[in-house]
Parts: sequence; structure tokens; C-alpha cells
Amino acid sequence: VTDAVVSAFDVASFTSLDDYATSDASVDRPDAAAVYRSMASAVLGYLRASGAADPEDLLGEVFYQVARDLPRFRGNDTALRAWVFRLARNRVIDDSRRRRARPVDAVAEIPERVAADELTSVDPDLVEALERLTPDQREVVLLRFVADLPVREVARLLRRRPGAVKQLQARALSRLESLVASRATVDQPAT
Amino acid sequence: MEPEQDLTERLEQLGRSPVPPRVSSVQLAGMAAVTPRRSRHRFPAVAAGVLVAALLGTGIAAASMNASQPATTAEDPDATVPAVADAEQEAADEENENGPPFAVPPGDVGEGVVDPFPDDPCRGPPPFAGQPAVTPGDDGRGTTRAAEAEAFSAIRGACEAEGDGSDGGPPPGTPQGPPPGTPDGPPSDTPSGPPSDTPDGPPANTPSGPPPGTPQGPPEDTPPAPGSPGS
Repeated sequence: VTDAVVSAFDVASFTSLDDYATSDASVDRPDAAAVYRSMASAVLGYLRASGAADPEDLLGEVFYQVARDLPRFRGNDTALRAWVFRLARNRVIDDSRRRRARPVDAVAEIPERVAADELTSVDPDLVEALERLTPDQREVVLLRFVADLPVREVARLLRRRPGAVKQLQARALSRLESLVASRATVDQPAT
Repeated sequence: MEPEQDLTERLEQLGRSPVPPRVSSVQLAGMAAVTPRRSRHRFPAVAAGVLVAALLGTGIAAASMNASQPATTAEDPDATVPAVADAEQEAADEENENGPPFAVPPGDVGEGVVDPFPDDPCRGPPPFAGQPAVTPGDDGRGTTRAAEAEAFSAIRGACEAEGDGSDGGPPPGTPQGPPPGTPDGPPSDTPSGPPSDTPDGPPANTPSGPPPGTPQGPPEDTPPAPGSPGS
């Protein structure tokens, strides 16, 4: 089994995907390794803030798909970013479906050592406040600020009008402010 | 700093999470953590021995297997099965495999000869077949036997006059069963649906059309061409 996993990830090895950029210079292809370097942080943050059970695992799935389909991609940087986050969003939706369909084995979900690094890099108060937004509000906030997508791309991704996205964003930020402020008040020791 | 600006900066900070240097190393670390947990479910050697013994129907085999695996038995208490329970389970298994105990059919004289037509006077052997002939000086039962044999002969004679008792079945040489080469349906293990891990359609909120996230030619959200004015 381990050999199979190793070979599978040899295929997905992002450093080896530099070939895409050098194999045919006449074709306007982005470099998969560069895509990973520039977007992996944001994708991982998006996956974590979206509540994915295993964000690193989904990150691998997303960039496996990116590496596979990148040669067929045509578009500018904004379109590329929107496409990558569309993949990430779909993986989050698939992940939540899988978890609903298969009850979680508590023993199998014991956190591993990787999770310790994860905790230090996430703003727990903010993540908790995000969980209390409506799904639409949370989606808009994550895509706008974590994924750094423009309103127009978020609107396309969510199949909404740009005006509706702006409205959701304003309400979400207002709600987040109050949630984070109330949390800060609770955490402060009484003087 | 304005609260909203502070908030957006914190949100943007979420998008600057440190990334594992190589995803593969994280995945393999996860696999390594899973491997010992799976080993807990290995089929115990003692249980395998008990199963073999049950299949062979010999208690000796079970005893020898148990005796040859003391260390494994001590390691895994769940795999230890009491000997008495083994014997009872073995008997129950044997009964389940072979069906209920054999029932003596009517007409079985206990000598390995079974009359397949015990109630049909036109078929089967005559009464008292294989038994000593009636002799003079019998204890009285001989008289009855002689009378019954005589009555049987009369009945059998009538049967032969009426016909041979056959039911007009197919003539000899009629092939039975389907003609050779007739397909007998799919094998029992033929899958009748998609594999369990097949995705059940596109995710919710995903527009219909190409697979989610897969660029099929220029995606719908792809700007016209490289170099065109961005958003």
C-alpha cells in the first residue's frame, strides 16, 4: 500500500512538473510548481477555514488536479486563481458529503503530529467566528479575503450577482466584527 | 486601526498559512500512523487454525494448532477460544453444513436396501424380499407371509395387464436441460452498479456541464485571452 502511495505522489510531485513550462515554450502554459508556490498557502487557509477534516489531504487533491489539467488551461492570472479556488471549493463540498455519508471513526480521527503545526498557524477566534456565519456569508468572506478573488469572480463562482456578493460581504464583515469583539470581551480578565 | 481593516487583515492572514514543503511527506506520515492501527485487525493465527480444524472435522488438528501457537494466543486474548466451545461450535457448524440428521425413509429395511415405492403395489420389490423362504413348521407368521406374497403376485399381475406404469415420459435419448452453449446469466459477482467510491454527481451548487473544476477548453470564467485587460 505504501509503495502505491509513494508512486501516486511521485506523479503529483510538484517539483517535477516544471516540465510543463519547458517542454513547449511556444504554448502559453503556467508553471505548475509556480502555481503551487504562489497559491498553496491561500488554498490551505481556505480549506482550513472552510472546516475541511483533513486540509492537507485536500490540498494534495487540489494540486494533483491542477497539475493534471494545467496544460489545457488558458487564461490570465485572475482566471487561474479563480479556477484553482473552484477546485478547492468543490473538494470541500465533496469532503463534507463524504463525511455525511460515512460516520467518522473516532479512533481513526485522532490528530497526528502535523496538527500541532496547524494549530499555531490558524487564528482560532476568527475561525470560530467564521463558523457562526451563514454558509453564504462565510463563502463570500473566504473567497474575497482568503482566496483574494475579485467580486466578479466570486459572483461567478457562487452564481450570484456582484451586487448580492457585495451585500453578503458587508453583512458578513459586520457580523464577524461583533462576534470577534464579543469573544475578545469574554477572553479579557475582569479588572 | 479600524476594526474592519483589522478584520480583513486577519482574514488575509489565514490565506498565508505555512504550507508543508511537500504534500507527499505529509501524506506518507499519515499513512505511517495508520499502518499499526490496521495491523490490529490481522486474522489471528489461532483463529485460522480453529477454522481449518472445523473444516477438516478433526479435533486433533485444532489441538495441535493451539499447542503450536502459545505466544500468539497470549498476545491476543480475543483470539483464544475455549476447547469445549470449539467442540460444540464444530458440531453445530457440521449440522449447519450437512443439514438436519438423516431421516430413515419408509420402506428402509435396515439392510441398505430402500424401497423407493413403498406405497405403490405396482412398483418396487415384493414383500419379504431377501428374507428366508417360508418353511413348514413356521410359527404362524409364515402363513401370513405366504398369503401376502400370493396377494402381491395377483396385484402385480393386474398391473402388468393394465400397462407398465410408466407416465409417458420422453422417449429414450431425449436430451435433458438447456441446449449446449446456452448462456446461464451473469456471474454472481458481476458488479451491478458503480463502485462505492464513485462520486455521486457534481457537488451541490456546481453548475451542470463539464466536470467540476475541470477546464474543458476555455472555462466559463476564463477571460478572453492572455494579455487582455484583467479584472
